[in-house]
Amino acid sequence: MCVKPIGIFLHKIMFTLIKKYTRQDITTPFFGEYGPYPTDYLMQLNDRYIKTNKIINSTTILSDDKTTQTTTILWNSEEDFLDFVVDGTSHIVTYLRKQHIYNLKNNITTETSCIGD
Amino acid sequence: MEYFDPHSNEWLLNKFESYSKLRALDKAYYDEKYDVHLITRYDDVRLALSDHSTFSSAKGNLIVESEDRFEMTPGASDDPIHTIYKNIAFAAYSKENIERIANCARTHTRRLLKKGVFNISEIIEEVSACTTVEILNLPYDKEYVKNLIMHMQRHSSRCVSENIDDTSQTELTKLLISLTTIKSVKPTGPGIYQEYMNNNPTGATVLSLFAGPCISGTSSLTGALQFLTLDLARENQLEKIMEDRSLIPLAINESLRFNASTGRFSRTVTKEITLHNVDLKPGDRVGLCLESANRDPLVFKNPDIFDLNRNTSGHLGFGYGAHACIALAISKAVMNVYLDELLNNGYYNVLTENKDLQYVMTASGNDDMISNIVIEV
Repeated sequence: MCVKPIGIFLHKIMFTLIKKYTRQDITTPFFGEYGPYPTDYLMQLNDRYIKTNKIINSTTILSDDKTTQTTTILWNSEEDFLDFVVDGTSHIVTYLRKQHIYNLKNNITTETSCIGD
Repeated sequence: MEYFDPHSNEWLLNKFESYSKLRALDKAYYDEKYDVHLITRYDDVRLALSDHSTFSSAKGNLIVESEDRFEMTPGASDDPIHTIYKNIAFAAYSKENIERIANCARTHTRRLLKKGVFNISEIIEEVSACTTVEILNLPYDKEYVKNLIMHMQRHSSRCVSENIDDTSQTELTKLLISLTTIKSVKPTGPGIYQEYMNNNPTGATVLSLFAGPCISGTSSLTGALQFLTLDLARENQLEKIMEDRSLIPLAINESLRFNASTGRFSRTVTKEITLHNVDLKPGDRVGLCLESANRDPLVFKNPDIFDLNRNTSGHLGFGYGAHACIALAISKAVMNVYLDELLNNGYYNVLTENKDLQYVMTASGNDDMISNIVIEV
């Protein structure tokens, strides 16, 4: 069976992904707030996405009241981001899976938005 | 023959014989290959399905599991995560939506059925995929999504253990992220996509709410429709049902008991407990054999006889307890319209001999589907 590609969906322009994490209680740390970040995760992020310019810039800001952490990532293209999402064997995805479970168990909500499409 | 091997066609063809022996053993059998203590008696299986604190799903529910699923899917999680996931999608299984989906399934079944000699396994696979498309109701070309699901059913490493090609699985993930995260496309009608976009208070990315129906949902419905088709012909019930369509719901329940399409689940033990004379300890894996429980003669008299007059209440087809299949009502509604249309198409004979049936080798070892049920109408 032939599967038609979803190429019509992909835009080769830069876009910004913003993830806002909100905690109910400032005594609950955000995932990885106090580190250390796993070495294999950082190496893979660097090798696969930063050195290759797929991730152009990334910042994390804590709100003044310390309840919200906002991570902003500038991606080279939507295609690069989607490749990252399906990079199922990577340490990054394992790290993100742990973050997802941690947030659910600690009642930390996530708001996702995009700019640039 | 092995006591247990859901990746062997020979075992699948003769599994009820194995289960009969396993139930009669002094102690539950431990299968080294799959690392599971096999729980085969009705009371034990039902207890394990009910007691979530002792029999955890957080390390998966498949006979063959992978760590990346742990706590990422409704089936592979305990509370509170399980309830968070379930609540997002719950309204997609409303009565109104079930009616809509069943009507679509009727249209597809009518369109796909034909006269003469043909492989109904393939038609059923397509009806199931069409049903899943409607359950998801993505704001995207339905024919394309259906083809993705059908390709996944035959080739995804999540679905099968041979002829692997994960292209369609990758495509589906990209499509879902593109729709939900990047584009935030508005829903076009009721279904999981609508609930996901409008009813996700934690904002969590839970792609398994889509992948689950595509993978295990489609295969369990496929199996259920296939066994219904087979059971009625093999057990000489067709004439009776042809004459009296009000028997259809009874036939569906008895078929689900007689041949549970999701025949097996796994759980991980969290505290010491004795089951079927085995002292289980934390970390042990158990294989809960629903299909064996449904043939336990202590609960169902003459269990190997297909009996339309049987009281099937308590059967474990589609599970039991908090983890019972969320799509049970949809599945039954689709089985109902499918059978009605099949009977409208005319009397049929199953031409494939029992011994020649070819099971699909599923990756999970949980579900049973057959690829070559040839019928003559």
